[in-house]
Amino acid sequence: MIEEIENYAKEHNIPIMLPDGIEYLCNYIKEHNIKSILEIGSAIGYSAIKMASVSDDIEITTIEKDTDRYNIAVDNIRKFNLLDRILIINDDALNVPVSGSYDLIFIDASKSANIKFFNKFKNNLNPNGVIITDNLSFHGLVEDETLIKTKNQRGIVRHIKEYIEFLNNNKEFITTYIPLGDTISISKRKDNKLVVCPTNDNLEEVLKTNIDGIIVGIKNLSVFPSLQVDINKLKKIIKSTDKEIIVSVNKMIHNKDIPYLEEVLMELNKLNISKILFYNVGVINIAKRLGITKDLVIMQEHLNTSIYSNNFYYNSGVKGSFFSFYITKEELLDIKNNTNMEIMFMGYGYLPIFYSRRYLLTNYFNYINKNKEDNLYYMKHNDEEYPVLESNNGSIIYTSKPVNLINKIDELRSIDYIVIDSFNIDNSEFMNVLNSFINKTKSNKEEYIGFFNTKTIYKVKNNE
Amino acid sequence: MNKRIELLSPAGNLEKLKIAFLYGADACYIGGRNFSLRANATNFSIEEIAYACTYAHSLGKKVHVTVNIAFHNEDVNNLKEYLINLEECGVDAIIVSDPLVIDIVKKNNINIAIHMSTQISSLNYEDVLFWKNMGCERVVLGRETSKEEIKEIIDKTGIDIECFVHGAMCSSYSGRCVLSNYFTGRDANRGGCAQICRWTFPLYDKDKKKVESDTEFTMSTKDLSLIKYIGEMIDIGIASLKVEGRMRSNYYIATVISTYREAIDEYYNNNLTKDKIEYYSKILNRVANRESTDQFFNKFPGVEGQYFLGRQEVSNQDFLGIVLDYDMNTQMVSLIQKNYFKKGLEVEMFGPNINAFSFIIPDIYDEEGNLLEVANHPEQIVRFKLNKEVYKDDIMRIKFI
Repeated sequence: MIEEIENYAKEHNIPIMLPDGIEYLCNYIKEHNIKSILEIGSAIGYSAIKMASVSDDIEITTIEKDTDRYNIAVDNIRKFNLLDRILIINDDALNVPVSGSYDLIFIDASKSANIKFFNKFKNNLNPNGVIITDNLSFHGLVEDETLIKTKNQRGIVRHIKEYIEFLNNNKEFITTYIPLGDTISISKRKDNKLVVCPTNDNLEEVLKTNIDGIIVGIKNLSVFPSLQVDINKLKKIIKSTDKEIIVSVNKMIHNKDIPYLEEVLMELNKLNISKILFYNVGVINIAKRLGITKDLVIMQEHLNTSIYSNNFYYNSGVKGSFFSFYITKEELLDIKNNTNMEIMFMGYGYLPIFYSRRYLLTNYFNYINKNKEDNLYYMKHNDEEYPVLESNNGSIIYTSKPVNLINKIDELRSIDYIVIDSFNIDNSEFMNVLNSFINKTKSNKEEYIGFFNTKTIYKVKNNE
Repeated sequence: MNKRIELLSPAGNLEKLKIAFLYGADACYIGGRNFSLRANATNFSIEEIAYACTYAHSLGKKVHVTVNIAFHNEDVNNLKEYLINLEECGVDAIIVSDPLVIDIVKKNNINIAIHMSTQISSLNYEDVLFWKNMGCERVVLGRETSKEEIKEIIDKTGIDIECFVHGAMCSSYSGRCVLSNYFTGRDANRGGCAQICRWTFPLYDKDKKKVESDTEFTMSTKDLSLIKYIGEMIDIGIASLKVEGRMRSNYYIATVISTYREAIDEYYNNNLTKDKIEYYSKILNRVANRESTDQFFNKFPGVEGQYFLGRQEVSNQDFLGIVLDYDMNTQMVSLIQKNYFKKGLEVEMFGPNINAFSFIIPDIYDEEGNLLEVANHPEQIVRFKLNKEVYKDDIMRIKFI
């Protein structure tokens, strides 16, 4: 019966999917357990019928602008007894208000409107849904323009190329291309990578969880995160896991640190690590001079607060920015959407809000003539307790409580890395939090979110 | 021989700028109404900036304008126009912490020197080389650098280096602090710093047990004063010595700038003796409302670099008056009164054109010639007889040395 449709299409020159393309698509639907499909461009119903035939519980909405084809499609669908599972609409898809949400959106219609279709219907996608588009090769004409014979073909090729560029530069979606049939693209919503700042105690346990990576500081060159290791220990960690390793050298660099820093950067360049977090811009210079190929990520969260400064650093050779505090969600997303920077954002943890070269605890205990018994104390203000941590590199003061953006995580999908820091958190509590981020289980409490939704006051007093 | 070191003064308004220049500053740094930290200072309108530049240039001096906030997306509107305005005013340099300003200056061919602010905490030669490669003409180093570090940076970069020589300082690495944001909702890096580091806090250990003491924990630091190291700072090749304090009074500016002016000139004339340094230190200590030390320049500061007396600051009443006029014939001086004084008090007169001298206050008269018991109305014009010539804008202070 399906052959009849194929033959009809051939006879009447109606484009339907090529055999290995439709086969791939049906397999994809089966393997990914796709149950709801929106199709743009039914033609004569061939692909809708094929897709619906994968499983009895698949439901499809399909839209066709051309009334003649629509009528044929309705007949075909009726022949397959699929009218209860395939809803077919005769209209321009751009005019149809679609409110449902779908596991798969399949675009196979007017090539000139692909971008418009994509932007309109991406909002109807389930969180893990995909947008699949057919004909990205256009019978090979996209790859080899010398084959183009007509003005019409040239126009279509131009539209397809624009669409491919749109997909490649899309900040929200990541697209892969399948060179089967007439080439199909599969676009998925990007999801954050989850990386953890472990401690010495929880490192092993953390590495067993389903996270994407960890951040490790290099001893004497890093003030964050809590786990600080030398190169040998770092090598052992790399050996023990296949997770992404991000390394921090973000202390304030003085002249005397530079030879050691250079040595470490050369070592890091040979290791299987992905990124180097830094604060001082001198690191950019050194990395360039030494030919370091690892991605540099700048961590000047309080200075590098705009699209423009991020563009400046990107053009200087920096590939990413790490933010943790006092930038609002809108500012963060603006930076993500308008720069090429990979963005890391603190999803959970105490945020450092003050960093001094001085040994503030030591000085204080000297002054009051008492023994400092620990490197961690709490200063109290308005019943809030702020951790004060002293190390060789100076003193850091943290927020009085950890921020927790678990309930905002859906708004941050385009952010490349969400960072979960275990500093100063009880381990069982931390593993609970980590699991909530891994499984995206919302918290039913109102969590502390720092300046995520709050602007700080710019001018205290108006001088004008 | 290097070019002579620049003495760079803060100026919160035009009056202070004039005083700073009069008392010996080579350059002043000022804030515009926009894009500048110290949002609470009065700051300069574009017309005032233009006037300041014309005035400075007529004296062969320079004006630097702070454009030193960390910009958020919303702040960037009108920045280009503002920078072009500054260029048209004849501003000699802008002080910048956000590198996006560099991009805008370059892209629009704005002819204005860029100085990187201390807010970016440049502490090593690679950082400074980075900014040099970006076309910046000067870097203001972080205050955590020692003499040896500064020298190495100067030797390895060959770019103008500016260092703080006097005034209050951040307890944190400048800029790497958002305490104000979290404690008061005011943005420290856009001009709203509420000086939380000067507050005191009870301290608790890990078990939440209070550390018992009469003195609470604080991050507060003493002020910076490097008057003792002027010679060394000149010798290692620093280009500019910066005095902190765009919010400070006329009297403070006059006293601090004239003191450093003298010390610098004495050093170049091989006349800067230990006794003189001692004397200058006393003057500077007296005019400040907090203690000061040499902080990171000579050694790593420990407890002696910090200030544990809470927020109490002494209000200074030494500033007695500023000279309005001197009549050579009658030997009568007219003075705008600033703080209480009366007949019989031993006072000191100092100014850019006189050597400081002391005298006893004789009979005091008001403008109508009425004899006054005491001078106790701020801004009142008073007169008395003085047998040494003084000039407009000379300052009368209590004799404290």
